[in-house]
Amino acid sequence: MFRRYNLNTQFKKGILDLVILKSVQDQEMYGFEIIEKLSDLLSINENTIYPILRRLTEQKLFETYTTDSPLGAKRKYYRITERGKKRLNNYLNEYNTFINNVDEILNRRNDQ
Amino acid sequence: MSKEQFINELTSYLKARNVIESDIKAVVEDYKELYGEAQDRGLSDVEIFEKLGTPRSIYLALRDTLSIRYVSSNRNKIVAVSPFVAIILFFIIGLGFNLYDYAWMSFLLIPISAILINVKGSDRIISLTPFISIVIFMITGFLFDWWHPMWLIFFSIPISAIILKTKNKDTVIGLSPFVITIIYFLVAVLINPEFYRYGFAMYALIPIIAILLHPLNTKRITMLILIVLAVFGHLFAGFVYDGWSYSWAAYLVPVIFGIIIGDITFESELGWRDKKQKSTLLSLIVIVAVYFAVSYLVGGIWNWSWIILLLFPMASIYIHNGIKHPVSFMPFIATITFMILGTFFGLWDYAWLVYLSIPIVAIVTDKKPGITIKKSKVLEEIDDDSI
Repeated sequence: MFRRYNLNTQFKKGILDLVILKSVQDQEMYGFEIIEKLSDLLSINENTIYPILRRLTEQKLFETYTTDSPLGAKRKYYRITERGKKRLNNYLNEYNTFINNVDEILNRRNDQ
Repeated sequence: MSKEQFINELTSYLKARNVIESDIKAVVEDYKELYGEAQDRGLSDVEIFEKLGTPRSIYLALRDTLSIRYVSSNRNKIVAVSPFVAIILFFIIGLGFNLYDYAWMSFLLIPISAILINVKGSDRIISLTPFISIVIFMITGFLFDWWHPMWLIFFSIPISAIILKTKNKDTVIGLSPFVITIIYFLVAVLINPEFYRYGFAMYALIPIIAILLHPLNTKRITMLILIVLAVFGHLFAGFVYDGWSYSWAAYLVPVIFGIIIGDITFESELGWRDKKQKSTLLSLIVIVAVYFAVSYLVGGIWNWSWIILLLFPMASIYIHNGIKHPVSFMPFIATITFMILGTFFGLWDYAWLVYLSIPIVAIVTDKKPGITIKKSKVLEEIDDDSI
C-alpha cells in the first residue's frame, strides 16, 4: 500500500520554487547567477526566473543584500529566510512523497 | 538596444500598464542590476536582451506580483457624486419651476458623467449619443410636439458608430439605410405626405450604392438593371394605374434573382461582413417597425411610445457585450420604468427614484476597487502559508 497523495497544481507550480529555494539555500547567489545556473541546468527560459525570485522575495522566503562587485556593478544577493527554509522542507517532503509513489507504481509494474 | 534603452522601454511599458510607482521602481532597479551583472559576465547587449526578455514578457511574467492602479480616485468621486447632484437638480427644476416633465432628465447626468470620465476617444461620442438623443427628443417633443419625425434622432446612435468605426466604402454602405430613411420621413412629414407612397422607391438606392462601390461583373450589372426596372415598374404601376397597393411586388424580381443566383452572400460581401452588424441592423428594423405599428395602431401615444426605441441601444449593447456590464443597460431600463410608472400609474412624483438604480447596480456589479489595487496571488499565498 502506498500513501494517498494529492497531486495539486500548487505542487506542479512549486517545482521551480523548490529548485530555486534549494539552490539559494545551498549557495547565496546574485540574480543573474541564479538565472544562468538554473536556465542552463533545466533548459528553461531565462526570463521566467526573475519573476519567481521577485515573488519568493515578496513572500519573504528570500531576503536580499547588496555588495559591491570587483567588476563594477553592485550585486544583489539572495539569501533564504527561516520562512523560506520551512517552505523548502514542505516542498521537499511533497516532492519525495510523490517520487516515492511514482517509483512504487513503476516497480510494481516491473515486478508483475 | 543599450541598457538605457532597455530600462526606459521597461519603465514606459510598466507605466502604460498603470503599475504603481513603487513597484515600477523596484522592478526597474532589479533589472538594472541584472543587466549590470550580465554585462560583468561579458554578455553583449543582444545576448542580455534575449535572456531578460521583452518589456511585455517581463510584465506578463510579473503581473501577479504587481499592484495595478485601475482608475483615478478623483474621477470616481465625480461619478459617485453625480446621483446626488442629479437629485438636487431634479428638485430644483421640478419643485422650483414646476417643470417635472423636464426635471427627470437631470438623472441622465449619472450615466453621462460616467461616460465623460471613463470612456475615451470615439467610444465616448458613441456612448453619449443615446442620452443626447433622449434629451433632444424630449425637449423638442414637449416644446414643439415634434414627436414625429423627431424620433429619427435616435438614428444618431448607429450613425455615429458607423462614422467613427468604419472606413471608406463601409461607411457609405452602412450609412445609406439611415440617411435614406431620414430623407424619406422628413420629406413625407414636412413637404408632401404623398411621398410615403412613391418615395419608398428611394430604398432601391441602398443596394444600388452597395453594388456601385464594388467591382462590376455580369451578375451585379444584371442585378442593377433589375433593380432599376423594379423602381420603374413600381412607380409606373402606382402613378399610371394607381396601383400602389400591389406595385411594390416589382421589387420581388431582383430579390428572386438574387436568391436564384445564390447571392445570399452578396449582401455580406457588400459591407455587412460582421454578424454583429447584421444583428444590430435587424434589431433596429424590428424595433422601429414595432414603434410605428404600436404608435399608429393605438394612436395618441407619441409622447411615450418612443420608449420602445430605447430597446435599440439596449439590443446593441447586448449584441456587442452581452450582459457583462449590467449597469450599461440601467439608464435605459430606468427611463423605460420611469415613463411606464408616470404614464400609466401617474406616479411622476416617485418614479424618479428608479434612476437611483443606476448607481446601485454600478456599485453592486463593480468588480474593481475604487482606487487600486490588484495585488496579487503573492499575498494570498502568504495568507495561506501554513508553514
